[in-house]
Amino acid sequence: MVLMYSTSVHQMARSAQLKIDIASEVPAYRQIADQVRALIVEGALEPGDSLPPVRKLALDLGIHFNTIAEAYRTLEREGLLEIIHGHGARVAGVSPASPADPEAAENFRQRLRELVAMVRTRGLSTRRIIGELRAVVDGLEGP
Amino acid sequence: MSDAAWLRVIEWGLRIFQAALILLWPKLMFLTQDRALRRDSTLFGVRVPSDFGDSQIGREIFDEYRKRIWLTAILFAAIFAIGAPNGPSVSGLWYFGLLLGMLLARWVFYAMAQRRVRMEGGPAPESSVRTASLIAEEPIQRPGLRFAAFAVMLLPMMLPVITGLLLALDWRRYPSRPHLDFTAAMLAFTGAFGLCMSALQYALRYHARSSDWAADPAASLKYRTDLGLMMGSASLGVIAWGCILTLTQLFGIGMGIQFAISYPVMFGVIIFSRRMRSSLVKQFDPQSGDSMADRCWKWAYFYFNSSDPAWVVPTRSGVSCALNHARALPWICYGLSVTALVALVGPWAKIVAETRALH
Repeated sequence: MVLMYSTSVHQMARSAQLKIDIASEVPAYRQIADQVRALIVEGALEPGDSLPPVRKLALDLGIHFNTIAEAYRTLEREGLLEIIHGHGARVAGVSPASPADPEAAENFRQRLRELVAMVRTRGLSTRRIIGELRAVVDGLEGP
Repeated sequence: MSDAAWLRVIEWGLRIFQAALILLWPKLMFLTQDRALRRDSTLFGVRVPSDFGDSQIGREIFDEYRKRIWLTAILFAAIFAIGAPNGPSVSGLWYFGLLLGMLLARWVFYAMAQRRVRMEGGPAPESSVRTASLIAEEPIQRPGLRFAAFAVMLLPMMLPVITGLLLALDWRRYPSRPHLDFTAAMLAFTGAFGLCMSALQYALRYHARSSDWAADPAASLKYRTDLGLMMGSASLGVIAWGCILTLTQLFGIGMGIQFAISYPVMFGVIIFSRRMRSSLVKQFDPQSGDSMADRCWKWAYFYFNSSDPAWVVPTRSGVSCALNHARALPWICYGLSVTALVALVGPWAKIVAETRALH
């Protein structure tokens, strides 16, 4: 299993790095889930790529392994990861839930509302927020 | 040469060797750490602004620490030269006692320097950001190095066990019961020490962060393997010597042969450790790791962080490693060592009483 994990992960982009801020208001499991999701959408992680075992990633980040497990479960619920007991987690081959899914759209709207409210309280103008959002979307869609 | 003549040569050789080692302690044991007592973020284990180490006050604190260490080494060498009686085992005990004293002194001086740094330079704000790579550590490619790493991980634990089995098979050859008891207790102590060293290498290999000591996972694994090799081979030298001594007593092999083998091996281990140490200093990346808060470091040297799954982390200076005292490993090691030491006292007291009665 370790060998499979090693060979599979070596094929990933070298920049597949996670960065979490333990002092942030955003829970660590959400930071991890958000970054892994972004890596999948950007194509840095491809279908079939294995992710590090929960305990290994917890060790590297210096946090409890349940936090990593929660992040993996969140991504599994979204259809982005497959978790096979005894074989770890890998990026799912199927496409994630359709954007037209009303529940997913409602979740997105809710999280966006919270995020926009937070950055507004920190003084960012509406124009700047729209600009940043567009830059992020363009970045995810690629050249 | 007769065994008595060999003993005299060894006695004086050891005495001069040990006195020279005491004088060179700061150079041999602390110099590389002195040089690396600060990495970019810390000085004497306190997170400070990056330019503090090169400031006048930073250099002053460092020089004061180094002067204290050298003076203590000179004082201890003088005490050893004047006070230690002859005889390899007696002067060996003295040497061991003084080594413990030196480590204690260094701990005190380090704590004093740390206190001064905290008052004058820090602490600087701590970073709450942690990073991890999703790329797996590359397994060690060189088969020789891989084999050496596993051998050095297993042998410290296995050698005393094998020696113990040989002793158990032929215990009637021993001259007296107290000697046999003492040898068995000594082997148990060596076994406990070997087990701790094997466990430490296992922790370095499988329960340490892949961003510690070097930012790149492959470089970190290389550093950890080399560090384990260095610590393991040094301990293996001591353990093998103890086991050879036990077996030569059992099979009546002459001391000449014993020393002809063990001294070159010991010398080789010292040279190997020095070379590995220089290599480790070069491999160390000052920008790596050290994401844990100052409050996780207790009494200058001891790492305690219950929210950190790592069993072993780099020391604050980055050189060598420190055990996470919130995990079971250090306490098992301390418990084993203390139990084995206590088990030694009874047989040792009997031998001393027997020797006195003979005189």
